[in-house]
Amino acid sequence: MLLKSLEMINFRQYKGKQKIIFSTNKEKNVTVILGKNTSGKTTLIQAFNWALYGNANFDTKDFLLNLEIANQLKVNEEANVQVSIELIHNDIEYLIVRKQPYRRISNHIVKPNKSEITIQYKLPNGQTEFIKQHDIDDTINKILPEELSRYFFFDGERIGNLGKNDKQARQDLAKAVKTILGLTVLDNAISHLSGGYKNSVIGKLKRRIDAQGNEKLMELQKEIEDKYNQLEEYDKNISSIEDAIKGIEEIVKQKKDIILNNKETFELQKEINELELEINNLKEEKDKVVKNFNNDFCEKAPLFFMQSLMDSSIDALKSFSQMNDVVPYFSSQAIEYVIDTGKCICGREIAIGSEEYKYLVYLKSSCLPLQIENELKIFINNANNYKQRAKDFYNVMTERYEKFREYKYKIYDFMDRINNNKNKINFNQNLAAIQQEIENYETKLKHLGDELRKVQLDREILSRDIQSKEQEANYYAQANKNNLFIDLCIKYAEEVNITFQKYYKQRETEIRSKLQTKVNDIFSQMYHGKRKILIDESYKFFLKSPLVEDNLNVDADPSKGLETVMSFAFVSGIVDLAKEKITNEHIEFNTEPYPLVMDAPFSNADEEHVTRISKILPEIAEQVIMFIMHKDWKHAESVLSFKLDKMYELNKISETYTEIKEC
Amino acid sequence: MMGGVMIIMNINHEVVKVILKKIYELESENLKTKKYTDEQMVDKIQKLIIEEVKKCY
Repeated sequence: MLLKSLEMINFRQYKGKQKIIFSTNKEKNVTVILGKNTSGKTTLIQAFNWALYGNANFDTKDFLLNLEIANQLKVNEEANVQVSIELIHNDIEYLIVRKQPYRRISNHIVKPNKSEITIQYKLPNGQTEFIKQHDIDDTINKILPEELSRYFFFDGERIGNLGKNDKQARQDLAKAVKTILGLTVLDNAISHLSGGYKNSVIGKLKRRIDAQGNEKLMELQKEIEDKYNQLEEYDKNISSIEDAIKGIEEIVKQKKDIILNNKETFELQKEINELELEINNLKEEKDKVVKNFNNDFCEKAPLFFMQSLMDSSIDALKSFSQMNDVVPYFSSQAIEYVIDTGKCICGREIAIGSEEYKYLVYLKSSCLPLQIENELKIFINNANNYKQRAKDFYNVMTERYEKFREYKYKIYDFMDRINNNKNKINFNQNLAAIQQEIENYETKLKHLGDELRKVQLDREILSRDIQSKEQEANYYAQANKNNLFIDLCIKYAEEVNITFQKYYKQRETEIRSKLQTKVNDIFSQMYHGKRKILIDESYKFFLKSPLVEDNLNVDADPSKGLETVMSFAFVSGIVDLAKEKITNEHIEFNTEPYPLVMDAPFSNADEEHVTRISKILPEIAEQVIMFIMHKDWKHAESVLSFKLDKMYELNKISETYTEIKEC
Repeated sequence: MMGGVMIIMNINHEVVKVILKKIYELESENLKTKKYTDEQMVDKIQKLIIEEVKKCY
């Protein structure tokens, strides 16, 4: 397909009638439309989408009429929005025109009516004919199916997104390969032949087997149908679990990316959490120390402070006691004993009334009463005990106080560190919480994996059971001649299905391998480094550094610019592959070359990559149409000028009016 | 109750090729035109196979 021209009437900021004629020259196949930001480059891509498919991806997609024109309308007056595309497809020239009338129904409301599309084509004799309305959708699908168009009408954001390795990008790429490169036909054939017991050719043929008069066969058929229904349930379950697994894997990947991209923050937050835990422990210990300090103080402080007083008391009491000890350590009881026995401790007799007797009486009268002496002894004992108890008071309290201070300053220190860490963190999310979420999800993944394996095993067992029942049913069925014929048809259907599947697998592997080769060919020309791209079976791509072995699945991490280059390499690889014809002994895969229409393709690429990409694109695509900014054109010009045939500039006159000028 | 009989009938690979090609053409056309639903395509393919097998047996 080649685009010849795009004409817009009052479409968004393109007031009045404005036209771009594209280069269809094989040698100079590049058309460039220059424009600043917000001048209307993206609108041009949307004009294609709207004209062909009636879709426009704007926020105000329901209002496409130029605002100046809309404001000028009087009540009940009408104006049209129109986009016309001239193109060549299979050597036939087509003119596609979509028109939408707008009417002002009140002072404040301008209402759109339904858009209508017409397609004319040129006959060999030069005359034109209109395609019938009911054939228009088919015709558009033949020229450029909508699902394919997104690979040839590229806006800057999608160029970037295709280079990312997310699920949508991979599905996009897988679908592109199948659709553009002819595998959808095989896919559909296989699905129609064998996609489920109820809605497939093989399933329907099997249900045609006549069991009339054959009870055993009827019984088996019923059993087989029930088992197929159960198989369908297993398949739904498996699909649901696989979707859940994929969904969770995506979430885990996103969360791991957050952690990876904020590794420093993660470490800081981890340290904060550890310090907070430590602070809590220290506070507990500090509280214990304070409690013990208070308890000891309450109990022993009076004893401690009373020490000097007690010492003085003890000394005073002792001396008082000693003063009253006329004979040291000789109590009044001892003296009384001697008096009573009339014998001294030396053995000498002491007669009553003798001098010795009188002296002993005198001594006895000088001694303290026993009760007081005992009390004194008790007091002195207690005082000594108190002194003992208060002996270590000072050391213990000092030690406790030092411990208290140690804890206190440690807590201050940790809090300072926490504040320092918090100041370094720009990130709002709690990464430790995210890490915990990852662990929870990974546990869930493990459980889902186990569940999946179980269901798959049950399905396998059921599948074999079905096979065995079918063989048994087949045996009984062949008693009926009609059934022989149906059975033969089933065999042919199965054989055709197997052959399609074989081709599909072979072609898909071949095409993916070719795509990888093409993508790397192009990538090596676009990218100044030495990396290469590997594509696996699920269309996940890996960027490999040259020193890493091929079987080591270690992703290099692409920058934004590199993502853009990768995207270009993919798109170019697909377009280039689409130009090839792949034949095999039974089936020819035909594809048509397509143009590349790109909006702001170089936004994220540096000067060197812009140059490299610009060199390759015109070689790969039949026609290259670019809407780019002046600053990007500066780098691309030196390379593209040799291939440039048409150039336009978007002149933004106001927010509501852009003019297209040919340069 | 009727018993069963095992009769083995061989596949003719030329017939397989013919069926393959016809199904492919039908699917290619339908991809472009989107004229038939999946259910209709299943019926058409079933009919196609039955007709081709009838021609040979």
